[in-house]
Amino acid sequence: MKNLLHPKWNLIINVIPAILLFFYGVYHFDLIFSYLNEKQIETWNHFLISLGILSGFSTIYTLALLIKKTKINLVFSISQTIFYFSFLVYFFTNYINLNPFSIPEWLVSEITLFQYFGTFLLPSILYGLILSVLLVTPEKKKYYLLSNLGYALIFPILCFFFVLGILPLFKFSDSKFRDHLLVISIAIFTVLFFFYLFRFIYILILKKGKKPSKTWYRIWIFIVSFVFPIAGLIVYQEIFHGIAPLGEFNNFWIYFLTGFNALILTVRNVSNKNLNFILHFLKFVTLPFSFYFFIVFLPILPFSVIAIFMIGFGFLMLSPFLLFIFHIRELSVSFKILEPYFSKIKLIGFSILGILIIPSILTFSFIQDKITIDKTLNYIYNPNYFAKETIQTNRLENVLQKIKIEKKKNRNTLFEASLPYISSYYNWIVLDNLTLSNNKIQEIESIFFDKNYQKPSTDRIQNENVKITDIQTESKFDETTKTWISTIDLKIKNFDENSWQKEYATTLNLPKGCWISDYYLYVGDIKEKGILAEKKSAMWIYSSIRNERKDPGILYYLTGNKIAFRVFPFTALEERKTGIELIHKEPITLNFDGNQLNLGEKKNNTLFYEDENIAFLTLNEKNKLKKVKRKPYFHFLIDASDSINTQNKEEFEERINQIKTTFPTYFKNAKISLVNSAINTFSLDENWKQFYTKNKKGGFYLDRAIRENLVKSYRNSGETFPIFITVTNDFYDAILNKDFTDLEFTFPENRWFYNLTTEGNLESYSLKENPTKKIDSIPFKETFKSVLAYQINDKEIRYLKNDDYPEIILKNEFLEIPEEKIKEKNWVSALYMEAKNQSFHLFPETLEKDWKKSVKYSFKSQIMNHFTSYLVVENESQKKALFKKQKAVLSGKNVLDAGEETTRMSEPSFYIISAILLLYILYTKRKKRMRLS
Amino acid sequence: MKEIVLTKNYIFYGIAIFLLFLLKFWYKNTSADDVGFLLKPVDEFISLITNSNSIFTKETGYFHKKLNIYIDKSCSGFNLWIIATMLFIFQFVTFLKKDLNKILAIIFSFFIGYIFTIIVNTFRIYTAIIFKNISIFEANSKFTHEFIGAIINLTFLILAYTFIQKIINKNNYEKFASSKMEFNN
Repeated sequence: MKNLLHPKWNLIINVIPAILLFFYGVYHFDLIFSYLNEKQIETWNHFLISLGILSGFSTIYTLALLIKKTKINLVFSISQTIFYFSFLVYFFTNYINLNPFSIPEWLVSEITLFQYFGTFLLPSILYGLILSVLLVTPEKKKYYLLSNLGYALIFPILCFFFVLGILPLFKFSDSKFRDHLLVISIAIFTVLFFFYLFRFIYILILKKGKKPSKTWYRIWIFIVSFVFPIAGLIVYQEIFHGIAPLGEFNNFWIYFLTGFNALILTVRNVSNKNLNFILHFLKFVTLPFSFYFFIVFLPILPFSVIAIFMIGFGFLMLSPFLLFIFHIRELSVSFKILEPYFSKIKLIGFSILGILIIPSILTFSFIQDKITIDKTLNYIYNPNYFAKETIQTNRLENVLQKIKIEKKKNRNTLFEASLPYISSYYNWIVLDNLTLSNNKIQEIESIFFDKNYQKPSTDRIQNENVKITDIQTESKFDETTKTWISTIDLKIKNFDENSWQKEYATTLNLPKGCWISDYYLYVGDIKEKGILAEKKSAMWIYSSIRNERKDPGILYYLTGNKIAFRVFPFTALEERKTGIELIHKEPITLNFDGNQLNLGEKKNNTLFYEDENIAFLTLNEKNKLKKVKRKPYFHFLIDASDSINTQNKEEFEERINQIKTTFPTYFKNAKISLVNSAINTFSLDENWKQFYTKNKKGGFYLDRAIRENLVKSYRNSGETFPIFITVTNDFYDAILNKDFTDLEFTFPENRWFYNLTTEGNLESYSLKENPTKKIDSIPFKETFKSVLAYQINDKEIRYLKNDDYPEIILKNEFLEIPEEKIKEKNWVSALYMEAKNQSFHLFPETLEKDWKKSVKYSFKSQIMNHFTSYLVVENESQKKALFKKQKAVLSGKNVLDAGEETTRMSEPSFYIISAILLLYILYTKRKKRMRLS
Repeated sequence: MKEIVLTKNYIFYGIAIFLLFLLKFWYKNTSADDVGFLLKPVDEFISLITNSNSIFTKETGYFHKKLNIYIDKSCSGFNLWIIATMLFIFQFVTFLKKDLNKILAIIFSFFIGYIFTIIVNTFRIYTAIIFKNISIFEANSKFTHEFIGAIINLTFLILAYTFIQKIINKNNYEKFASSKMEFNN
């Protein structure tokens, strides 16, 4: 124990955390700077300067002690306690200025200032107190155990009388002074309370003064390890029911481990050395448990005095702290007992093994969860249409449950998670610190558990009174690249006199071969240039800022060539200026919110582009192609979800047979897919019925069925094409939320699919937009347009839509963009990125591996693609938050470099090499020492 | 309490560690261009050995089309340079007696650390290129790559450590022997 007086401990416990905290403080201040007013900036400055001085002084003093080879003295330990405690009091009393409400929650949601300061500063204070106890309690003297406990308990009572009895007797002209006095008196009583409490523990564990008998000692341990924690957990549950300020501890495993830990600690060592060894090992197994609660409760330790007289049960808040001390004490005792019988290496080895058991079990279970959720997400969003995937639905259900609990976390809690630190660890392992949106959770649940599917709510566009007042366009032709660069400058006005928070939102359909290469928005009088950012991060920040009612503007791809264009907010009668830049080769006509814009003019340049990977055909080239009429066939998509029973099944068959009589020609080569969470496709002539009842699991996942079969029919491109017909009891229950515009090149003949009703009628639905909306005006027709055949080589043909629009052709379906094709503001670069997007839709399984490359190429070319977004934010804090989020998103999922064709010759980890080298050096030194001795 | 004998060396160790942190911090915000002093020579050597040409860009570093590899910031060997330099500093500072020599040794260590890094890093990348083309390692290419890198870097570091240690020991022994002879005389 006296070892603690060596200054190296001060370096570890006090100096290093204080320095780390100082740097963290600077980082945090920098992040939130734009949101602080003068007073708050001043508080932050005072705060950081004091922390800097404190940590600086502590560092110098500790180094001086180390050089002079002297121990820490009483003056230092007491002054350290006082200064750090005062600093902590300063922190809490100024918390509202340091962490004001003006800071948006999303900016700092992952960080809690309170948590950091509690965890970093408290050890310094506790250490100072312990040192003071050691220095004023010399070993030779005898002490009364209970008198120290008595002193410890008397201070909360004195505090109670002083605050509620004596202080109100005085009248203070200045209420600030009274508050100050109140805080300081509580602080002093708290320090005194802890001082005597530690002294009591010190005397108890060293069995000084009046030695408690062994039985009494065991009883103490039992009280501290079982009675206090269990009572604490129950009281916590009762008092904070539904609020859970420190976390949700109402978990079977916590109660179980509490009991188990108590049992291990209370059992005394026996005469059998092997049994003692097992006991010792088990104590190490439960050590992380004690340590966990110690760390979680550490930040609130100073409040336990207030809690003692306010709630009465406040002393239970001390139980994690006491438990940890007793646990360490027990370990050191059993270590000493076992030392003569077992080698040190064996003891240490098993200790490390023991400590690792609980964290390893947790990690293993989290990794299993990660595998399940990754598989599920890949199955839905990056599927390999040609591979079978099995997903453990039981585990998936559990994972979703956990994620939902995390999402429900109460924002008012000190720790923003149900189990502090563990939840963060879970989020880090399972979700890479990202989250699953409610829409995604709902989608997964409806796909795998046939839960009621609610269509994702789309943002309500509320610009009835926000209109474009002026549009100016300018097109410049770049002779060297033969490309048009057109700018559109807009003035948009809110005509509503009363509304202050209007948004302007519109969608525009970019013609093929036209892309966005720049964006700006006026914020006040300043023209802010758009930042090209990763799309998910940009959308996250836009919606966060919009909730804060600040000034963002955003541009991003919806499906196909449809772009969302949004600006927020417009105050009453406010007019704002914004604009975009487009890059295109041929003159285009763009419909911008009802305004027809003609950009560029006819030049003597050809738009046709062709190389070994892709081709861009204009009408001229398309007219030269051969026209082909392919044969249609019916492809039935039958509802095989959980809710379907045998009776339904027979009825579905009947419907199909009925339609066969009306359209017999479409039944040649007809196919059938049983659609639930998995898609099983058969030829209609096969005996598919036997699989029908077997295969029921999950909901009617129509989106996947159509997508998968579109891609399959495209990739097996032959002389036939499918006409999709759904057969279900309730079409509106089908899981279908997006249109299929992205896959438009896979259905050149027919842009409709149909639902076969009970009466045997075919209802039409569009594949291109709003696929759940019935279109009565378009009945099923039996004639289909011819298509154009583009011969790639002897074997491969691409079938193109026979219309007047240009077309991008993937000569090589599995397209890899050659690095040299990507140049700044270059039309061919944009064409390649667009073609790559088509390739992604054919091979969604490659998305995970390659999407970051697409982000990179977009940044490099400064042209927005389907993975990026143009965005204007208001201030530096928002920019920082955007880049931080972008970094998290871009590093999300673990396949950053793995499997990339081009290998990065990265060097091995700094820490691993340093650690192994250090171990080697220590080992050789030890060996040398042993040889010499 | 067990007394820890604290010599002035701790100040030099402190300076070395401080420099390490400073360099690590600087490295965090650099591009391939900034660590060119480490990348360029390695790239030259690799080009020479493999007879391949590279294209340099700020974002991707050196790209060897023929080998289909990047040598970018993450491959610079910067970490190895720091580790090697620290290793040399600690060994020299412990061994040398005069303060001036210790200061010179710190500067010298950065220099020989640099030479050491260029050689080892070239060797590491060359070995990785060889292994990259062996098909059985393809499935776990990232792991194989890291593993080979770790083995090579560690081997050379341990060799360097042992070599310097041997010289130091020999030197100490000679000093000890000569002082003993003087004593006997």
